[in-house]
Amino acid sequence: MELTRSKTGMLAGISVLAVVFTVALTFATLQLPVILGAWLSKYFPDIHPIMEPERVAEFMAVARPIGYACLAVIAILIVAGIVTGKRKLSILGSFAFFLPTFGYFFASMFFLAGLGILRVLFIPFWDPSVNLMNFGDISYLPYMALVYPFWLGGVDIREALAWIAIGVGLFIFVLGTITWFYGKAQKRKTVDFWIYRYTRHPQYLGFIIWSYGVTLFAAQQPVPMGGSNPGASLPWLLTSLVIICIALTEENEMRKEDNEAYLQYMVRAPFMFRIPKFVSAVATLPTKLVLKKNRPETGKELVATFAVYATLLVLLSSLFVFLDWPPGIGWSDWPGFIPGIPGPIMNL
Amino acid sequence: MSNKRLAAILGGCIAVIVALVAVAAFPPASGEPADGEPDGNSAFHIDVLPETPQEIDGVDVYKLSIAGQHFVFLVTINDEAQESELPVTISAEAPGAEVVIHYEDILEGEVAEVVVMPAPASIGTRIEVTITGTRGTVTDEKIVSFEVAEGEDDRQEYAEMLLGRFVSWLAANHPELGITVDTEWDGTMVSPVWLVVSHYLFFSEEWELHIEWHIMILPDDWARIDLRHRLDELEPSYAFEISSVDATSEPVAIEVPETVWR
Repeated sequence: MELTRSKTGMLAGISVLAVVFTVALTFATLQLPVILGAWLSKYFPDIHPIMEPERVAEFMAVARPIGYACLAVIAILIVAGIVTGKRKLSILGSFAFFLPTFGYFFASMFFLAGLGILRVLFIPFWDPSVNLMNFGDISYLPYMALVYPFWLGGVDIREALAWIAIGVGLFIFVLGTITWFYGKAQKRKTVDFWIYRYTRHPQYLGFIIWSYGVTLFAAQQPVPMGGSNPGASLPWLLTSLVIICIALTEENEMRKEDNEAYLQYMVRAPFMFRIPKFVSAVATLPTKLVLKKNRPETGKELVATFAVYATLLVLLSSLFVFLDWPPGIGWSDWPGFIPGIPGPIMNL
Repeated sequence: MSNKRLAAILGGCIAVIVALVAVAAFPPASGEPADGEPDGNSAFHIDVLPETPQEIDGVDVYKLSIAGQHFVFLVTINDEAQESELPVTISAEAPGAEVVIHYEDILEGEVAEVVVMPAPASIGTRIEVTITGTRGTVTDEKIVSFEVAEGEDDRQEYAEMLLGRFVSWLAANHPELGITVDTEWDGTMVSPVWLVVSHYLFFSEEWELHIEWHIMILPDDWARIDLRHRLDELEPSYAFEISSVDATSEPVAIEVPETVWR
């Protein structure tokens, strides 16, 4: 699309609108959990696990089957959506699977108190005998790569990074949504301008970056009473994989509907964001090995691709689990106390 | 893709994940009891804080208390052979004093509290406290002693006033601690011989709050608190300071002391 003067003005106007929405949604991301948590704590009050173990056991006896049932329903929604091509089911399922991450924002002694009740869904992964929540810890690699050099220089960017991820994710999401609506209003079959020139799935990319920021915040939350915070890396990892599968499903449909134009667009714009060729080659290698082609095209192939990538990433994450890394109280404190800057947890 | 191939891929993935979870859930048997020794009888030893008497320049120096004061010893265990899943039961005897034990069954990493309250008849004597840990047939014992001096608690009123100021600020600014203005506290005087800086301990269900204040005129009339979470912490984890009590300064976070005050 060529930019005339009026179109430049419109683009500027839309960008300002996107910034306003981004600020509002960033604020909502961090404030709504606080308000909701205060309200929910009336119905799910805090329980001291050490002083009132019987109450905790009583509550868990009810909550455990509910957690397993909810997870089963969500898994069915996601798989059914991918296999049948009904994307909305998968989107709903994956968002519902990620939602309990907000439960970490509510400080309590009992992990299901207040807003923590959302984490009932994570119960199957949150067993005292084996904490599966850390089987997505490979997700923290980008976080580690960004935080550590600053930490060496005595600068703590942990919280700032989470904020930035939330803000950037929402900005991309909002810009993508506005562009899509504008494109549809112009009756375009393939929206390929503005932010769509830089990513074929700005809304999904925005969601993945936003949810990464939320996951970082969740992992950084101090846990009162000397407890530990397992973080929510596994839900983020699986949700992101589902979102990528949904994006692939959409592309398959677009290629069928608008084959030539969409194929040309695929050459011009990257899937999520531009990455070096060798990284792309490594990232797509499992697909090529399993499917003997570059991308999954049917529901079954998508399920197989999801399973293979999820297994590989869980395998890589298991290094963190078996090495019991990071040491101490985990990600909420990693990489530790920076002299002169109070960490999220002091002196634990 | 055929159903058979899909099933093979999914089966392989599930097998890998089940194997991973199994290894994580059931780690190699290094943590199991050795040589058939029953888990309930595994060796351990107990540590008691504070150590009193302390040897300073070859002389045993005893901590001091007054009658009725709560002298709180913190007791932890160290499993020597392996991590046992059975707790150690803490008991204590102190002739001439009343003894109350909080969290008497502890695992490694947990903290029991032995509270010794000297009787008025013990003024001028030394209280010997024998603290015993028992698990199955295995026991470990530590003896600590402190002296009882004449004196009375004349600090309670001021300490409670300061407590109120810190608590209302903590309730508003650190809700994650679970401290509210309605939290109930039991106080006890400590360190009766310290004069320029006075000390007081408060205990809620969850927290031990040590408060100290500088008996000085504005602007050097500071007050500080440090907080230790009971049962699972041996040292304070938070500390705050009001730089001048009379100037009604707001509390600010400060460096956390390395040890609890006794």
